[in-house]
Amino acid sequence: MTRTLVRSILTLTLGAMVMVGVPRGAWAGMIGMPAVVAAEADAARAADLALVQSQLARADVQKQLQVFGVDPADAAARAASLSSTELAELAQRMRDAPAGGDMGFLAVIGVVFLVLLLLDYLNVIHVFRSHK
Amino acid sequence: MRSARLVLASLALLGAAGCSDLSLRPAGAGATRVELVDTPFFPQEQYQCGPAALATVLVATGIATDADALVPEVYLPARKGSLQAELLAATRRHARLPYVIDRDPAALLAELDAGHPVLVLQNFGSRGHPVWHYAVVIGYEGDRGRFILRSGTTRRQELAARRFLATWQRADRWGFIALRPGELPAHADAARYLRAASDLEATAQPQAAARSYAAAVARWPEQPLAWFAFAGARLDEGQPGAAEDAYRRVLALDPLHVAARNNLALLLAKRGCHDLASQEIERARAEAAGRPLADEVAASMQEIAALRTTVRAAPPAQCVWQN
Repeated sequence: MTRTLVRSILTLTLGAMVMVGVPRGAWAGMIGMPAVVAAEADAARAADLALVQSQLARADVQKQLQVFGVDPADAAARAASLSSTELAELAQRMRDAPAGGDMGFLAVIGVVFLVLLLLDYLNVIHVFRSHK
Repeated sequence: MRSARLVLASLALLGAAGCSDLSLRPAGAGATRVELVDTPFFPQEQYQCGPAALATVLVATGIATDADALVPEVYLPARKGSLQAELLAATRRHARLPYVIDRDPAALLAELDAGHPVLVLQNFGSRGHPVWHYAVVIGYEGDRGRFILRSGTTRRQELAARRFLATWQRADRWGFIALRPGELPAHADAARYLRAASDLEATAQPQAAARSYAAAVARWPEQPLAWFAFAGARLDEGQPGAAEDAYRRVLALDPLHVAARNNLALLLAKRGCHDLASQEIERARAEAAGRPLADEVAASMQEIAALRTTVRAAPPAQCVWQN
């Protein structure tokens, strides 16, 4: 019984080794694609989040958020909990929007609108939804 | 052809803006129709549109399976449906690369033109009360403003473009194609394709991924990540020399690519170029400080120090490299 168990475990282990291929696993520190892809994704997410947070930190944007009844700190915290895909989409739209230190009123509204739209769409806050 | 696409693409934009009364206009002369008639059909049973649609795209790429066989892989009885992530994972298990297309009708048309049926998610309800459905788009008739699908129990379903695009829009225009190893999408984003191939590699399909990486290098020779992936596949095949060359290509394109420098240093140490290896790993360590791969680089430093005692030093002439 025990022997059968040991044998099947050995077979499985050897089989797995053959399937995955020994070379890279055998070397400590050899870095594979999944690790690099994950690292790049982390870096991209950090950059996207930094952009979104910097926009949300603007005084004019915060003022406008409050006009809509949204606590800016709340919006920032919720932006941080977006998935990477959602964050990337928001950041990309902000990059596409007219940028610069001196944003016009319309640009501010644009940023605020994007944030509210995305958060609302994810059922986080309900500015654009009457009742449900 | 191009004008047909324009009509379909602009319909999508207008649809998004809510102009539902727009009447279709003929696109004019030219080839405007594509229909992948050889795409198989698996009529769905009950709520099982996920397995049926998945079988359609897998069998279209030469996999021997059917909807019933896929039910245990992707169907969740409690939800009466399948999750998108499971469809992608099941595609990988069958050694096909699932590539999620751009959320854009132009990308959909481009894949159909290239002969790739597109598995799409549709929402026949509203945003608040969704009615989800998976189907496979196999063609379009630009002049008639129609899409052609394998859907549900209908082998050849024609949907008005406006109607189809509205249902697709409410599903965030999600769709994917199943690619054979080494095949590229018509509308390919290098980073997304490489990520997808990496996921394929991680699902115990390294050989399939290796062919995708080779295709990526041919298509995007300017992309460091493509060469990095290619190098890893050479290593798996026991070709350290080819891998070393590829890592050097990465570093020529991106001198700050820590992972490539790390792996190159290990390869150098492995063939006895200890001083060069130490120099490279030291540089990698400095560049990786405080970044995600710092731990791996630290492990490599130890490995390289150990290799210095176990691998005989190579002649200096074999250890020349400037970067």
